[in-house]
Amino acid sequence: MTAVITAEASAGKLTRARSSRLGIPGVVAVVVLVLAVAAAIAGPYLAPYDPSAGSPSGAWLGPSSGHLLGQDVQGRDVASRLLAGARSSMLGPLIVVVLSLVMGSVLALLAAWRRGVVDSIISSTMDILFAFPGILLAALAAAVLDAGLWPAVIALSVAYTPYVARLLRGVFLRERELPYVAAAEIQGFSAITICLRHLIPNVLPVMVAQGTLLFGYAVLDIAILSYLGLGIQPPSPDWGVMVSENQSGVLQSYPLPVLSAGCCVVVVVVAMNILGERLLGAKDNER
Amino acid sequence: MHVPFLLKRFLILLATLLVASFVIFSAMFLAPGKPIAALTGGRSVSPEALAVLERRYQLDEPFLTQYWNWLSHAVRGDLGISIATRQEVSELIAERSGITFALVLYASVLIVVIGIGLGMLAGLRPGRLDTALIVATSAAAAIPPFLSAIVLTMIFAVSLGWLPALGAGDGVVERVEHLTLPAVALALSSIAVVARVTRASIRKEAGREHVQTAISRGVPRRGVITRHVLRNAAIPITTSTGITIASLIAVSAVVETAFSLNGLGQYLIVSSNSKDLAVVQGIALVLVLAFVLLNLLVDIAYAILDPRVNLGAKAA
Amino acid sequence: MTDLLDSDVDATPSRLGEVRPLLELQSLSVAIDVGGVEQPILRDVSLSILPGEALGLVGESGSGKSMTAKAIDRLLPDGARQSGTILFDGQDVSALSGAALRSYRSDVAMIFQDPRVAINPVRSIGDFMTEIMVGNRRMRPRAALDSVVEMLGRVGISDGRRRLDQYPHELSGGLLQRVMIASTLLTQPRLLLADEPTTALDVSTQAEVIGILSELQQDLDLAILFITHDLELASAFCDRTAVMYGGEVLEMAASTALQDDPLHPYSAALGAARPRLNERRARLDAIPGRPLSAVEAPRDACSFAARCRHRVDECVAAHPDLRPLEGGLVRCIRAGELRAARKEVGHDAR
Repeated sequence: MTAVITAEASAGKLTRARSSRLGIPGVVAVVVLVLAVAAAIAGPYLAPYDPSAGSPSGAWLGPSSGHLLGQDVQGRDVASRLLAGARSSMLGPLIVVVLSLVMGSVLALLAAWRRGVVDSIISSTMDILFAFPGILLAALAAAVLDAGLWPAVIALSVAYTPYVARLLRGVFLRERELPYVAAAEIQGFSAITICLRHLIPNVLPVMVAQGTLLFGYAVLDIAILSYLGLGIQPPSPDWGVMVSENQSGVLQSYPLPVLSAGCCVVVVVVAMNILGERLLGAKDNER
Repeated sequence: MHVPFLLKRFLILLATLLVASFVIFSAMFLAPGKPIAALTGGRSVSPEALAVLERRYQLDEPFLTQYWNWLSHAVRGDLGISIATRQEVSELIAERSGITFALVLYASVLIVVIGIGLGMLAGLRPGRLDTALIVATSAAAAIPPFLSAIVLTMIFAVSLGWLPALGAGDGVVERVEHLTLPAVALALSSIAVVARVTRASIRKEAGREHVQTAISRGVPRRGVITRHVLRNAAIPITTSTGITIASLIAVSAVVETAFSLNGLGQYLIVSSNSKDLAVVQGIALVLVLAFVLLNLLVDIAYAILDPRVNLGAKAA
Repeated sequence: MTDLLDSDVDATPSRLGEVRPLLELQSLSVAIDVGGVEQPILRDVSLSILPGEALGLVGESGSGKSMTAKAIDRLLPDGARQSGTILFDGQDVSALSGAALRSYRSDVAMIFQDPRVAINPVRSIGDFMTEIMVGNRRMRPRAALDSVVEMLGRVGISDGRRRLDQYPHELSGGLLQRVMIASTLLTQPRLLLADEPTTALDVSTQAEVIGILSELQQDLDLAILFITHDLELASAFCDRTAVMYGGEVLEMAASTALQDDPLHPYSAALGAARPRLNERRARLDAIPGRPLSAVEAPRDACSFAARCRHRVDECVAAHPDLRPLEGGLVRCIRAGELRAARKEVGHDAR
């Protein structure tokens, strides 16, 4: 028996050690993330042109030495709009991740800690919330409020919460059933102390990994909502807005503005997926 | 046989619909100002029309009475009147649901045939094809539907001119032609997801000990694969394919918008942008209903495929 | 799998005489490839089983006993490399393929440790039992079901007809293991590989299952390779027993001899580590250290040396061979000397 157990334990250690190294894709993903964050912070200042200043004569002009990525439907510099748009394209998703992680983990912790009736109420409420896709909630929000970044962010946060809650509930439950929690309870520590000092710190790596994955999805979904007109409104520079503004260019054989904005979204999403999966060690699960 | 499980699922379905209708109805009270302002979407409306709205929604009654009034109308198919077009919302929905249904159905067929097909090939034959599929699917799964719509339009409509880029077309042949690019755009990332799930499920089931038992008993390879590996992998594959397809109902809004298809999803977005609340509520209700019904279908399939299901319901 | 080394090592006990063994392993070695490194699983295993004989295979986890059964039934994982020969009825098992391999597999049936995971959970009992008869032997489903019910009766399941429509999760572990046994007998095998058939069961069910196996062995003249970690159980059930450690056979002897007069210090330690009903002892003599797997076992020393009380320098100087002693075989350079010393102590005590 012992031989098997030690063999398994050392195998586990090995795979963990392997997955904690990022590998080449992971390093590339980190580089993409750093660049994206830099663009979100400094993008508007780095932009060579005013992202909102267009000229009708410059519409659909291809790349030139002055305009590396050409000009869009209104003759605005595409590269400048991409840089300036990085901020809104990533700030919104960031808020979505924070909100849904906070709401989801509070619900999950409550369900895992109290178990019984509280757990079944929270779990079935989450089951019901699954029936509301983000797009639907965003459409409702945009219909009653003024469409903009905030309704979209709130709608997505609500839509993501059940996913976070369901996943973390399982993780918290497993952690809660460990003997040290019972030991701490017997010693008279309050539930809040145990949660803050032990449960949450122990689960934090999973939350960070999940947050990374969610951020990728949120970048994608915010871009989709902005594309549909349910998020950031034109003429603000934003990747989703840029796709929708310049879509007519595709049929006129001038897809560069659309593709460059779309690629920005895809690159960030893929990087976040890679990073999140590395953090979760999901590669080991799939094998 | 499977009554307890399915009964439980059906009750959850009813609860979901009830909660969904409540959320959808009460959304109009979130708007700044009076609910009547949410209903008119800030339009200037004639006093007669206002009176009609007030009567229809019984806005002077308590909140729960209003909700009950709205729900009982909705159950009978009366979803109110569009403030933008002055038409019955249910009629507007009926006109557009055909396209969305056809689009989602078309995409589902693609997902089932291509996604499960590729996943089975890769799952049963490790090697170069398998590696290629892993790479291709991780790329495809990350492409947002609006981008796949654009790229497909560029390639097949603009450059090659094989398929139409916009509109829904008339007649069956033309309809299929017009819906091909949208359906592929809608299905693309789901095909990747389903292929990966199929491959992983087959690998997992192939490694089970009972498969070793079958081999050790002298069951031929074909029998081992069909009667044990595929039979058992069918359970997770069916479930995740069903859930993936259900999620397409909402995503179809993106594809319909990109291809200017006059479907439910696109109309939801248009109405939301023009603050036509009654229409948004109506479509939201229909989409949630479709989503929930599809999930029920998945549950029924699951109960049929897995003999252990009834026990699970008893234990729960 | 394909590179078979010809080997003329003959380690079968000479007392087997002229009766041709039903199964013969000659210097069987198996290695698996882990990240480009060949890791040994079985090392130079030679065994033989006579028709109708029960051979015990005893060892701790990781000793290679289950892998031996897998190799016999050609169930080694992909990428495993095998050398040495497995002969069944004089025929080279490694050369079999297709229909011949399937027919070999119905001659050599395997009972797995845990019937819960060894029987497909989504197929009914009847479906599981008739699969081979209907699929491979082209029997009519109805006739197949009749013989299934009869076979279920033989393993003590009287309401077999009712069980046919049930699913594995509706049966208890003991009942399911009996279904498993019955299913292996349907093809009239000549050799049964029983891989810890009672380990996953309750104690009371264990005795039942052993009883059934023992009865069937006599009635059907079955040869059985009985794999267990329990030396006493093996001795009670088997004619001869082989003790495995670190992927190799350390001792092979008649079961009674192994129990009363173990030749290898490891066999002796295994016997001493088990509580006995007829003796009261303050403490069991646990074997110090932990069991080595074949991967860890040294190649140029005795694999048990690290844990052996009787170790001398010569033990770690070279890998010992399996040598005949007192009608058995033992892989210990000091076996004869230790045995003599033990006999002396025994005489003195008396």
